[in-house]
Amino acid sequence: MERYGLREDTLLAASGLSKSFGRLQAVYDVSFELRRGEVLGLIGPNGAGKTTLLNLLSGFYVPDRGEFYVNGRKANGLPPYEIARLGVARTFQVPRLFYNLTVEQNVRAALLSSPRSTRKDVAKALELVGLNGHREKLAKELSGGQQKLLELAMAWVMDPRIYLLDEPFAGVHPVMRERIVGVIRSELEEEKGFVVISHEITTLMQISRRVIVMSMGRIVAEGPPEEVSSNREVIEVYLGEEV
Amino acid sequence: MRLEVIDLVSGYGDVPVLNGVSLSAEPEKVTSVFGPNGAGKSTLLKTIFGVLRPKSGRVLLDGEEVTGSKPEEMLRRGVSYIPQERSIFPDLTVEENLKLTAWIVRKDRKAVSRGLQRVYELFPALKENRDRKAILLSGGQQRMLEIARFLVLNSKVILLDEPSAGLSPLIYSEVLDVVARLKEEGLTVLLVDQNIRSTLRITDQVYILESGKVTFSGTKSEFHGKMAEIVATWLKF
Repeated sequence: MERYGLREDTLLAASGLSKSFGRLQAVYDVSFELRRGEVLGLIGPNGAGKTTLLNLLSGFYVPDRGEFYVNGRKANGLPPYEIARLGVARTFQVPRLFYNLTVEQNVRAALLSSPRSTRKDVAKALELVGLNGHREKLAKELSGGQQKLLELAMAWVMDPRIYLLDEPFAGVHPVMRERIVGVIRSELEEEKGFVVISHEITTLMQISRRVIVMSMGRIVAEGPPEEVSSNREVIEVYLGEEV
Repeated sequence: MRLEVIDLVSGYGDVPVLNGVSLSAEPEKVTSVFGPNGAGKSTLLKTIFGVLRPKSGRVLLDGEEVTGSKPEEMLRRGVSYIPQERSIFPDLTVEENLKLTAWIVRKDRKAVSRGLQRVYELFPALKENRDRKAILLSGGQQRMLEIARFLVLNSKVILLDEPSAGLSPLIYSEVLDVVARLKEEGLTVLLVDQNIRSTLRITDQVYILESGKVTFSGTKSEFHGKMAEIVATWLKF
């Protein structure tokens, strides 16, 4: 840890992460640090490698090169459940729920994978995301936005230090989006850290302290939202490549 | 065949996506819709094709009302929709894929065989690979097959959702050549994509969709000078 000169408040640090699938270099030489109490926004066009990066950080893929540290512990090569035990919670573009279980059962199931000492209250989790009135409903009966909220409640109840959120606002009604933002803000006060992928640029820029822009597997820009949003290179990325 | 969309409102459940979109697509032209993610581009194509029912607004084909028609009805009327996700049958051969698509809507052997011939003339690569399983084709050829299937149906209007998805820039360029050929054949092409620069090469008319509304419409050259400025606004907050 020390040899990377990491700050004491670093929750997650990646150094030179790379992953390819056949000839496709999905993630190339990605390095960054996530600190306590901040949202790191991750943007870029489709196919830029954002979700692959989250898959590396949560142990779904093993990096070809590079390494990453969670709370100072080297974590590459660890399976997803061990990374979860280090305090990393992950949500997905399409929520991964137990669709035939009730809302409450889903949150209880999430608790099973979390160490006993860190368990938070199921009822509180549901109250936080506003699903208290739906606890007996099957997950498949929820709207798309409510399913995203449920997945967030499942992450929250595990009391993670780091949240990796993949498109938490996509297809979510503006009112529910505000609730998700509310949960993120209250967790930031608890010094949690977030890596958030979102195409909802406005919302993401509002909550992020720093934004990373990816294109074709690489980081092409990084900085505070104001700086990134007026960066010429970032605009070029969004115009796409001429062939 | 001219496709016209007037004041279209559509969405999923209580989440509104299209808030009154009007546009038109002409024969022998490629009309491209660009916009940030979540702007409603795919929803627009799905609503035109009848996968989603519009809440209000109209869809017209050569002036004839087709609003709310089901996908099979749209297919019969000569409108085809190629979704972003792969939609071929991987274990069937190229020719079986072509025939099967045709068979769904038209049990006329002669018409199917004429359609096949037309496809093979236009796409020699598919002719060469007619007996190969579709899964064995390259990504670009698979997309080509997806597009070609609808020529067997003698479609007049092609709705293309993110043709660049999952393709390398070079392969996408080949797919664009295919789309350009459709235009030369007199078809009406309405496509949505993220890769503005590449797609612009074969585009005639541009619409920009933001938050479910058209915020720009113009010719390719009108758009060209403004595109950096337009994209810059997508990153503002």
